[in-house]
Amino acid sequence: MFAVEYWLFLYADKSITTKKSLYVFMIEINLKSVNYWFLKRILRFVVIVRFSVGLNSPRTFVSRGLCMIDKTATITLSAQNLCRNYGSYAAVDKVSLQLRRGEVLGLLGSNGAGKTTTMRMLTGNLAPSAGSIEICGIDLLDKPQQAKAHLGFLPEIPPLYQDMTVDEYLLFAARLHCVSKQTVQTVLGNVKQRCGLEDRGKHLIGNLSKGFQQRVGIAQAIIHSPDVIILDEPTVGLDPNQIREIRKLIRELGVSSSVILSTHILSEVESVCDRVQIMHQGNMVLDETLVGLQQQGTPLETVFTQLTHRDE
Amino acid sequence: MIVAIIRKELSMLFISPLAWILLALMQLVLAWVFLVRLDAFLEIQSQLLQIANPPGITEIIISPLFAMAAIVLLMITPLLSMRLLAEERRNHTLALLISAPVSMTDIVLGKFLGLMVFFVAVITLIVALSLSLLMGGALDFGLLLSNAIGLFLLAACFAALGLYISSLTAQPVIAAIGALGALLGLWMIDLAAHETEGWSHYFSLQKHFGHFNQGLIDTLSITYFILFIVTFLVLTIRRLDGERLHG
Repeated sequence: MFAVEYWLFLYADKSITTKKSLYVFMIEINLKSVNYWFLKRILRFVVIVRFSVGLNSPRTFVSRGLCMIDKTATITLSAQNLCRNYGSYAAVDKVSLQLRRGEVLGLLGSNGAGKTTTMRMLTGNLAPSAGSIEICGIDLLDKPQQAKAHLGFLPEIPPLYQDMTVDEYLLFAARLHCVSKQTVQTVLGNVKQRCGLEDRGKHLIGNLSKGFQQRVGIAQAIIHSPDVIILDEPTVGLDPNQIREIRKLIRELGVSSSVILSTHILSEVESVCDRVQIMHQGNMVLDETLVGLQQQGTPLETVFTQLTHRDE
Repeated sequence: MIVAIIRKELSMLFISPLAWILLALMQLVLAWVFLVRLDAFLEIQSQLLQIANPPGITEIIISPLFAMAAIVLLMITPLLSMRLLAEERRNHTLALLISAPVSMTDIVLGKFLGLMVFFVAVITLIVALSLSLLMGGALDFGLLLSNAIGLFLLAACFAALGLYISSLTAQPVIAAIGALGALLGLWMIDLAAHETEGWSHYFSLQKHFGHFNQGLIDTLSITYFILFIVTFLVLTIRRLDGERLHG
């Protein structure tokens, strides 16, 4: 039997359950291993897993270390019982979130329901009053820097420096996220192409239209190919064509990473997301896959209205 | 990545006309002071030769030049430091830095060091101005070095205080006025303490710089400067962290 042997560097928190996802994972490693910081991180958390694949039989041999990690480890982001109080007012109360690799989660809720507060907590911009957040198995509160390396965040108002050109800004974002010098130009070209900014590189951000600024904001969030992408109302202020393009982009991003997006547009959730969570007055009132909703036969709009208008 | 933040601060500084205008203005004022002092020196040169152990050109021209530079820096630092954090907050760009894998310390130090690189350029220009005197005579390099070190530490204190005040508000103008007020206050303490030699004498930045200005590298002054810088940098970090925790 002819056996090919692979050495695989594996995070303690990531695991492979099927052969298919293993290949996906290896490709990812190859792409990312050029990044010096990533390598350093790997060395720190490294669990070396050795396995061999028989060419005749598709049997995979997985070492003990790998077997110990169960299916839940494909979870990229997990938040337990998040609370946030402003004085006596609880903006977010015991919210739990879980996100798997390759999943797009839509966060819905009326104004002031706590969506933005939740997202700010997930990205380390706000410390939760209680609860825990893990990103790729790394505790955000204990090791914020390592955890944030896996995060891309687009706030409600895109964090743009009006005086910089698009290229300067994206290069700064890349350097800030420790993208290595060798790969930075390729990464910049890729991200501009993905966000439709190819011919805007030399433009001042302040002179761009709202739609293009939003795209630069998204480009900034995905430039370091993070595992978890958090987008706060990414399609606000865009024209219908741009909205369609951005939705397409989000679906693409959802293939390799996990995406959380908050929005007020229900059709957006239906067209983009795999799962939907609805918040109301700081509480999570619904957590359901879109497939599940379809099987129940209730339109999202009805569900949303029922859950968020029950007080009136 | 602290280097990325320093680079960004510097590029932001130099793509705005403010930094260039301030550099030009500062050079103009200092070159004028320099020439006035040089003129005065040439006038009294013959009389100086008659006294035993006369003051040299370094004492007559360069020390007053650095004293003037300290006052000019006091005026321009608030203008440079005001936007460091206040503008980030106003443009909602702080979220970018905080969500990136950098610590609060890196952000604050990056901004502080970025401004210090600018001040190093300013001081280099002043030193270059002083070195031009080598064409006509010899310089007391010890005194020049002591002045340069003193001015560097003083500028660092100004920058640290300006950065802290900038972290308190979202309005750059308020940050500038606040920083200017605080720096003028610290200068006024010196004027008030001049007569009394009381405790307040130790709190004045300008008073401590005065020692360097006379060529005295005093460890007490160095300690005071460093404590001042560290205190305000730590306060800035605490302020930003506090905002994350309570804000």
